[in-house]
Amino acid sequence: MRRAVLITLALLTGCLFVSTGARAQQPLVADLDTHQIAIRSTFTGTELLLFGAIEAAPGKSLAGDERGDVIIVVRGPASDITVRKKSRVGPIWVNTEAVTFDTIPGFYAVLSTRPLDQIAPAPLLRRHDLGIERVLAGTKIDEAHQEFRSALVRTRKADGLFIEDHQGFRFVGGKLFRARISLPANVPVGTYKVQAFLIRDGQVAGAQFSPLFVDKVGVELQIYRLAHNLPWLYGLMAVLLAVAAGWGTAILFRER
Amino acid sequence: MQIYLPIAEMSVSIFLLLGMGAGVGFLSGMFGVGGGFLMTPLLIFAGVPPAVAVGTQSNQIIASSVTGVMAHWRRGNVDFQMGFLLLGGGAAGAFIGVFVFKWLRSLGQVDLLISLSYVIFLGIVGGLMLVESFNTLRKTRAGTPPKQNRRRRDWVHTWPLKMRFRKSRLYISAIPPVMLGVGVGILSAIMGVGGGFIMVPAMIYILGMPTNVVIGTSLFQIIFVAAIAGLLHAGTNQTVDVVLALLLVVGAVIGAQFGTRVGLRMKAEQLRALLALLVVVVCFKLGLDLVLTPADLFSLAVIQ
Repeated sequence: MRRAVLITLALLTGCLFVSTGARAQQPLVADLDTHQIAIRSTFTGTELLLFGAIEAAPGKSLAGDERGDVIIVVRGPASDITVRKKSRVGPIWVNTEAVTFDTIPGFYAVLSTRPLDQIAPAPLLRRHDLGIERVLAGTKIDEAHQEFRSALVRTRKADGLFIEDHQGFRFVGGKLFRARISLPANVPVGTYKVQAFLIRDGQVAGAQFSPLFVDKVGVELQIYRLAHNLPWLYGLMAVLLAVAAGWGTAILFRER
Repeated sequence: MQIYLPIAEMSVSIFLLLGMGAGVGFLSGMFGVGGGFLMTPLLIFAGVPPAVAVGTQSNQIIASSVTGVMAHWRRGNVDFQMGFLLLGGGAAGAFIGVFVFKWLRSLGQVDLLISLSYVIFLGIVGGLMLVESFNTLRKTRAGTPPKQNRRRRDWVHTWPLKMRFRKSRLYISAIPPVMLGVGVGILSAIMGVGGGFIMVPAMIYILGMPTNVVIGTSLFQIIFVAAIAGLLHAGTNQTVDVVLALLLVVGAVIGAQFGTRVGLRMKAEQLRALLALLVVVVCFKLGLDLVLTPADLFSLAVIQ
């Protein structure tokens, strides 16, 4: 059942790319090496390969400034995040202040051929939520919250969950490009949105969207689901398992 | 070799977990303690979220207590009557503890609660044990035999609801055991420990139970209190990771076998002094982390 759904999805996305690719005029074609990332017991993070090709604008070449710039965005499922700040209470450090930020993507990577602000004007970047600053722009921005916001960005970057990179792009023969994005072991599960933009003269000349599914599979999925859907049954099973383990040990190492 | 923990949602070295289990198992076998007070801080130190460390730890405690109680049961060293009384209190205590835990977790203060409980209780117990065992060691060295005064506290005998405990050869009120159970149950749920390090001295010095039945009885009630705490943690906080628990149990089982053998070759006073030292060191380390300026003042929490 699950596999059937996946195959259908894969076929659908495949059709999408075939149909867009078939039109020769399409200035930007891009795809991922996989649309399904499975988190198994051996999962330690993975690398996502993005590749594609650009076409020259009519009557222009792909050399120099006429090539344009490519921006790729990978955005994970959003959730609310509370940032807490410690301060000294008597002799010890205690969480005293907290600010909650709404709908922050659990993963956000933006790769571009040049620094974003050199590629496109601010309104365009804002419209498409390009760049970490823009992603957080909708959130509280008064002075008091500024340090909480930068703490959020700093921590997420250190965890590899926020990536802003304008050096990872490789162009092959001026036309083909590829880039790698590494997903750390603690990536959130869910449906990701991958977007590719071709920007020429400060305008979007081509864009493409595709989904990426990150999900736990196998035993990991079963355990996670059970723990969250039937927590009491899961707890009972965990306890019984522990009793059995202890009992087994006692019998195994019985004093002679 | 890395393994992904489905509830903690992180990838950890499988050998690190087995090694930690074995190390703590070794010490628990050697000293005859559960080792929860060592394992929870170690897990937090390895990057496991404190809430998951505490929730999961209760399962590891169940496993090692079942193993321990089997040995004591065979020798007839379990006072079931006393055990059930302690257990009644302990169940109530575990309920209170898990709900306090849940409440403080929503306030973002659960890490502080865990650390503070550790510092306070390990500090008191470790300090007392250290003083006591050094006094004993000094006296033994000076040649005077240590006095065996287990003077029973009179106030316990004046309370109402008296019961006769055959196995412990006691005739005392039922209230102190229940109260003791509640207190240790709360600690068990909050700290992710069995609570033996408080239960055992309290049974000897406050209830006046004979030493031979103390450990078996305390292990017996720990199984149930830890089971209730584990069930409640899984049910209300979803913080029990069975994969993590299983790896720790496997490590601890192996470690404990070696620990017991080493422990048998050592003198009781030396063991107690070493254990006291260990408790004080853990307490000191956790206390230091509370007092020193943290590397990052900010922390993130994803709201589900």
